[in-house]
Amino acid sequence: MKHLMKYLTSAPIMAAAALVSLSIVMIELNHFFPGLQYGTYFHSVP
Amino acid sequence: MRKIFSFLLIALIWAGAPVAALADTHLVPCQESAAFQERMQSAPDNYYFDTPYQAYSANLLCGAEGLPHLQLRIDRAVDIAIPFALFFYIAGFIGWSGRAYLLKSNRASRPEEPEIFIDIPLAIQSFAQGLLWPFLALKELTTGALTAPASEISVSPR
Repeated sequence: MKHLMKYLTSAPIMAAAALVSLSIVMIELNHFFPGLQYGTYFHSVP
Repeated sequence: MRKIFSFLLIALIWAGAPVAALADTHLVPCQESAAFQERMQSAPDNYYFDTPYQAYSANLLCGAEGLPHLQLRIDRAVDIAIPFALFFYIAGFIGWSGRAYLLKSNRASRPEEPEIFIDIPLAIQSFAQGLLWPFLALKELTTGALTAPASEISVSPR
């Protein structure tokens, strides 16, 4: 268990985990706010 | 001399900006743009296209090619300011947490170990510190902890 934890906290594994969680956040953001990149949600009238 | 030139440049840009905004009359609300309507009709019919196109059509200005444009106008400054502020804050958060983690791990008995095997409690602590980075940066800048003293900066012989 101790060795498994040490392996799981090694930098490449942590980097991969961070990448996967960031991707999930981005995909979910795109799902809830599609088209956010144009700033449409900050204004109601042009 | 350099100061005069920079003031002149600022004044010119300042004076030129409203003229440029007024001249930008080719932008029309997206719902009135035929090219935009055509793009909207030919887009795939699903959630990821419908919702953004409806929002663009209601809120944004489109060019002749039918694509939404953001204008650099003072009354629409929030369009640029909010995304920029978010980007700046997130970039600072990443940088500050990494810096905090490295500074703390350097105090460990074997400084290279927390770089290879991430110390999770230390990382969480650094992330929490990173959330407050604008205040911490200001504090460190005023106390002189952020920058090296002038005596430590090597200067080439003149």
